[in-house]
Amino acid sequence: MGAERRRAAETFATVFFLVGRFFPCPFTPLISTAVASLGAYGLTRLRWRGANTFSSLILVAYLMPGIMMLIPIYQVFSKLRLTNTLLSLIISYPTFGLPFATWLMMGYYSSIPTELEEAALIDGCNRFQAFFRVVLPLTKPALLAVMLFGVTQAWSEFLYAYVLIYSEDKMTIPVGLAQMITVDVLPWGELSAAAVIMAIPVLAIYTLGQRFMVRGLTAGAIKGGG
Amino acid sequence: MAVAEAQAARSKMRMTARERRRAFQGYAFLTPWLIGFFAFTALPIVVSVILSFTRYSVLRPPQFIGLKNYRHALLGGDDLVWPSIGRSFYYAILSVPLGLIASLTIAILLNQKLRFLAFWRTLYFLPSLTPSVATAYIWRWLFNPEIGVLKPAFEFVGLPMPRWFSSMEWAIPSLVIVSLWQNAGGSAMIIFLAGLQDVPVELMEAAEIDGAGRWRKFWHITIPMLSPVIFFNFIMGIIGALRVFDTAFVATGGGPAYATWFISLHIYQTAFVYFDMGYAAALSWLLAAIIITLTILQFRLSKYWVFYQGG
Repeated sequence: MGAERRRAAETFATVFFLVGRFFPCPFTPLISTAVASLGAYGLTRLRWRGANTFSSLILVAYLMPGIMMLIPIYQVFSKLRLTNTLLSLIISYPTFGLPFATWLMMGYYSSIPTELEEAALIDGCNRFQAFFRVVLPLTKPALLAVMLFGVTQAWSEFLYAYVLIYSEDKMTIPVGLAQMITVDVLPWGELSAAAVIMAIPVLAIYTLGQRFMVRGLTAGAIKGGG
Repeated sequence: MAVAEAQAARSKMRMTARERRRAFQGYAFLTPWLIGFFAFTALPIVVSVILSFTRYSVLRPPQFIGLKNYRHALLGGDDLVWPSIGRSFYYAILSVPLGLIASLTIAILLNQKLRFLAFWRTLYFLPSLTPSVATAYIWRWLFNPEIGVLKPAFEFVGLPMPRWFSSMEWAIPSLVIVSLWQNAGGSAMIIFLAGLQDVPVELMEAAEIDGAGRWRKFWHITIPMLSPVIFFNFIMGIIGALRVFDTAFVATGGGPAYATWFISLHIYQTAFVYFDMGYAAALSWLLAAIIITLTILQFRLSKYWVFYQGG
């Protein structure tokens, strides 16, 4: 009992420690969002041979179970000695983050009329100028939504972090919490505190960005369904 | 003849300076994304296909064994495969329709002219953002037979409380309850809400003039107008339900006596407890094939009941 309690307390200390150390979690969403906003624009607005193929490939990528992608990732990472590093999470999260971000952005672009950028192109802008000056400002809400979803996903993700990280000092919060649960006598008080700590950032993010998140979610679902 | 064709082909290939600049700009947009797509999506998929045809236990290099993994999974070499797929389907069949009904009900409630709408919407949406590990833990506590909150409630009503996660019959329905709590107010509800707000007012007014009551308006206008959204949420729900892992892993660990041993847990166990990577890759392709087939099937069937406005 004493040992278990101590172990639980130590894990709990780790959890607190992690709140500070999991700052890389906005990093992946930031890059995913940037790449996805350019890519989704290319997929929905530019005419090129692969556009349709790649658009449907995103749907296929979205259908792939996370555990399926994790098996090859684990192979490659253990070859590269990347397992048990936070870097492994930063590199592996785009496997689901990028298709998701692209999917949402594609939905959003198809809800923006093309006339604006066409006017810009006729007025002598090139594609980049049309994109950065006309389209990008319009997609700000979607960009923010994609970012915020990415951050909450990275914050809550369990399976990848559970498999790729195994030393206590590097665990993310969901893994630390799951680790405490495997002890037979459950330290309910500490567990509840950890669960609340986990939920607070998510709550804060949503409260700040809820208008954008709602719009970002609905644009793709309603227009992109057909 | 041949000369003319060659000339035509050459003139097709020769691009004007403007066209070339256009093409270059297109590639500039797409290159980072294509690199990301190949590195993070296509590469893992290809590696996992290759692994699924090998015997590979991490310590020794992979050994090509053809279709043996698939034969082992499908033809009864592994007693857990078919029952675990069955359990995943049972979970999906219970959780998806109930989830859709719950989401639609909440969306209809929130579509009334309410005060503090943003507050209510946040309140219903939060469980879906709460990390699933925390959710699973909270429900383990709620369902706890000794200290759980539900116990006094059942005693008050005078009903015997089921043993939830620790009973064979109740384990999967308990996980369905968890998923309802988690997802009923989530993205599906938000999408329903947006769909409800898109239903044209003219149609409703016309129906009212023709004397339709609330119920008939709901069945004959709201539901058909919502059908694309229902379809989208249905597909997403099925995909999510067949892949469910976190809550089952944390809340029940697949037990009691394999009662919640879903296919995702079976793949996890094969890959990361037994390190039978080749076989696990084959199993994960089995799951992927089921999901892809179901999605294609649903798209095929959708034309019979989904109504797209305008087009």
